[in-house]
Amino acid sequence: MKQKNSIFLNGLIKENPTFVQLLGMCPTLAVTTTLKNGFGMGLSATAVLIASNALISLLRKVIPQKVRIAAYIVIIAAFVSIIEMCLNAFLPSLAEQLGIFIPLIVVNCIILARAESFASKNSVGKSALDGLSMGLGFTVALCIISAIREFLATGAILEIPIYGETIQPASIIGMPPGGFLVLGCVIALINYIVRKQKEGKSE
Amino acid sequence: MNLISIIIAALFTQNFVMVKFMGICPFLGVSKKKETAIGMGMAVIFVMAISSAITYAVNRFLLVPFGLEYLQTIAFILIIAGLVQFVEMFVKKSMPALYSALGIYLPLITTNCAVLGAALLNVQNGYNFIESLIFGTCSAAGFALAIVLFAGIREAINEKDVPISFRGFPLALITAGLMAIAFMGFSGFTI
Amino acid sequence: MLKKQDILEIIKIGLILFAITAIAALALAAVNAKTRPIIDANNLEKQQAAMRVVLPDAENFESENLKTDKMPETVTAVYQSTNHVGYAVLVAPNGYNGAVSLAVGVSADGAVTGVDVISQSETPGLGANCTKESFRSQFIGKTTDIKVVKNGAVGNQIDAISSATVTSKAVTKGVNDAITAALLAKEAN
Repeated sequence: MKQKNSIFLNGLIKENPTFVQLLGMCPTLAVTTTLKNGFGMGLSATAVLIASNALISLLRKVIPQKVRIAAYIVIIAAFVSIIEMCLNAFLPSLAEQLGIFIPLIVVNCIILARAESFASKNSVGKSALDGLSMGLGFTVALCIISAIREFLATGAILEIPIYGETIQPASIIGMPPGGFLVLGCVIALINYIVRKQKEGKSE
Repeated sequence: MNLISIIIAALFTQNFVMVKFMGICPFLGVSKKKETAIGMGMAVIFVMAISSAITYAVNRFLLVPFGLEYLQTIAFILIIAGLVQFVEMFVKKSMPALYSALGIYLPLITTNCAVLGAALLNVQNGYNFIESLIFGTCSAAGFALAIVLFAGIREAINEKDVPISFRGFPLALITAGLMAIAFMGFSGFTI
Repeated sequence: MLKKQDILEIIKIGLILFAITAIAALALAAVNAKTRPIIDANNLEKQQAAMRVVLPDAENFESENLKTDKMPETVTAVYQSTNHVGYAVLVAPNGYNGAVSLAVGVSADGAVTGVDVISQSETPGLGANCTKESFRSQFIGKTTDIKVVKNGAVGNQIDAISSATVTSKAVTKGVNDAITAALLAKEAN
């Protein structure tokens, strides 16, 4: 039980794929223009992560060592395509907003990295849990960034206006440069908090 | 005329890194030195030019005639992964000089989403063979342009005294943000 | 020289990889068979709804697509209303983030009766404001060659969405192309 807890918290905080491992930067910057998009992207990637981690772990004794990367990519791409079709069918407006970044989940380095470093060595249950934890870590990171960007760029959260009319929103935050600037500041802030905590402990 | 507008868009107005956010991982990962950035840029141009041509052919002559468009993602990524392997073996055997310069970047390219992105965008935009080839090559050149410029700036600011929390990655992101603002100057510029 | 054992090994690896790919392809085919009709139905319904919004006087639409090669490249389809009050034209001009898919209603005498956005992926807070009624309604009643100005539109001009000139120009180009297409379709009849 204790081990399971630690796997779960690992992805969420200690080895957060976005803020700590700095993986999967493309969707982190591209789709975080509104909270809804960030959340949708996070959950789609989480679903793929859980499924691919579980299946790869299940097949880890069958897949030949030499072609494992190719096999992983096929499995991941299949799950991504399934998610893409389901989004198109049941959530068309979200699918439109995320656009090309849904098929690009295939090359999200988080997924291949977890397949190679975790799922290929651990049991199915643990691998699925690792997928869930990493996926949620990714989702939380996307939500934080997209909430900040939506708030600053459109004056709203989840399309509910908060200040919009009285103050001109800083629309540049919603455009490409804003993605880089917000992510840079958030990571700097996390570095600052981590450093303060460490200093506090050593005293 | 159409080709020129594709070239301008791929290089500047719709730059893959600065506007479309594709290929960010290598953009941030291998941009600490100018030499490595140039190597990566060249390797990406090489692979994307070939992959655009092959994915176009596979889509046009295999997937579309048989109504298998839903296999696009899986087919394209397999082609790219296979191509990267093949290019690596080929370059290693026949062009050892080039291999020593680009070799270590080649395996990283499979997970560079710019390569898959270009292949998918070619289909989405309905480009013909020549347009696909030009779009793929110029998008890669746009990536190379961004990463080389970025590496130059990073080399210069690495030595400077910045707040501790901003050192390394955060500062790189802020720099990229300022570069993206510069690239926005191109937006709306069409032929 | 390859030993017999090595060859067997290569064949085995190949078969396993092939099996994984084949299973993946079959799974995708199954999901595709389930989702494709829903996606098509969704798209059709959206398109029909938008067409009714932009040409409110139309009873219904002919199913024949009147698009010809002479029409501007951005035009994807032209449908005539069954009671001959005008045309609903589907256009997809390129915006800031890819195609902006629009339905444009054009009356029989070539004036815009309405503009609706079917799908877009423009920047939220900027270009995405092209879906707002206040922007779209500016086009109603206009005839050919509409121009975009920053503000203070008169005559055949419309006000751009603030800080989203690219999107505004794209939508305007789509509307202009739709008028051209509708006039061509009328001539052909």
